[in-house]
Amino acid sequence: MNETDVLKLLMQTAEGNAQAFRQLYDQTSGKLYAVSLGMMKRRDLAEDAVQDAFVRIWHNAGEYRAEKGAVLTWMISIVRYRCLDLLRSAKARREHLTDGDVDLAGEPEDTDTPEGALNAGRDRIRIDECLDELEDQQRHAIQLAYFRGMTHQEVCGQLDLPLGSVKSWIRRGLQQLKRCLE
Amino acid sequence: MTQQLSDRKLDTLAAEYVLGTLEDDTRLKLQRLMVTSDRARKAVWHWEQTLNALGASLNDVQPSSRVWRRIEARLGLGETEVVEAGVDEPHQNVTPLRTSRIRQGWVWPAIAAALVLVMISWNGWQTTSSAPAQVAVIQDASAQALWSVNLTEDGLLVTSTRQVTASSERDYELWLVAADGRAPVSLGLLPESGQRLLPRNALFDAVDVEVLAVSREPEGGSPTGQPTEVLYTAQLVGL
Repeated sequence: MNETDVLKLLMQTAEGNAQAFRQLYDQTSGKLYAVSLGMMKRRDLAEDAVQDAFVRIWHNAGEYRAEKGAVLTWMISIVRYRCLDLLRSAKARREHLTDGDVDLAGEPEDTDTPEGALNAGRDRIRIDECLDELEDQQRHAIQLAYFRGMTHQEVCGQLDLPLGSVKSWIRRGLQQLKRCLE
Repeated sequence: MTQQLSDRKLDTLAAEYVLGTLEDDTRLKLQRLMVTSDRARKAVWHWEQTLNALGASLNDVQPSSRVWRRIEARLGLGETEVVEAGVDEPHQNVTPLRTSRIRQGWVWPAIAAALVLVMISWNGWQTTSSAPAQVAVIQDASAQALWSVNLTEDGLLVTSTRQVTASSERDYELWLVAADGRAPVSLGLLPESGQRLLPRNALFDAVDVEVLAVSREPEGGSPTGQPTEVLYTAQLVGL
């Protein structure tokens, strides 16, 4: 995927070019769906999030600015926020239910190879070198939050660590990442 | 949360905002700060770029072809306006909306959760004579819908939900936050029950709308002409 090509398609989309929008979808939907599937875990919910994201991309294409980052990461932001919103909304609804019949994410990861599962099927990039410098559980906590959309509380349950530790590890880990990347 | 936040603190908040781990209250405070603070927006953009490189490194997984068909139908782009029936088509009852290109504010992350479902469920939504052009759903910290705002040529039709708590001591006021950086412009007081039609401000046709904002005000509305305490923001979207 070439950034220049994708940017051109996005600009044409902003002008209301439906064919360009279709090409943009063809080039990027696989990535957005991979992100969404990791967070939502269910295909139908992941598809809903991707669908909502592309509707928003169509309407907001003209608002993209280079200072917001590469087009693809901007688009991934949109689908991730949508997934986070759906997860929060489902969790809020679940609090009002008594029979627990909300079936969203939340099942524990396979604890035998948790990081392997998180990192299966992706390429190593620069940020991975910085992630490698973090303590194992610190790195794992950030990855669970990013790839699975887990809250602090859910990361606690997953890693069997105290809430305070998870919060401070994630916070310090992000600060360390920033230093490493600068 | 004020402008006095140190760069380091703001940066950490932005990072956790993008990661998705901020507590609801803090997340909403940062969203409100982003309405007025260029520094906050840039911090968030920086972390979106940084962390979403992780998402970009995932191998593609192709979604089902029905995803594109639904997008096409929702936007009225293709010739497949009528989607197939079935229990896996939850959005098929949405009234097709006018598909004019509408410029909006920057992508606001936490808007309109379950927007489509809310649209389907609210009484009266589909009984209006003309299709709505743009809508916003204003939500609380737990993503529960409080008001829907439906911008039509006649005005802003605001519908409150049962989540809104009525009080005789304060009012909720709706504001237009323009993308050009001008001060927020009042659109009127929000109903605490039922519906209210607010006048359509001429600015809707003259500026790009960044977001709509809701403030808590003394009874009767803002005494200063500017929002006293911004509680929520929501993006106006065309579907």
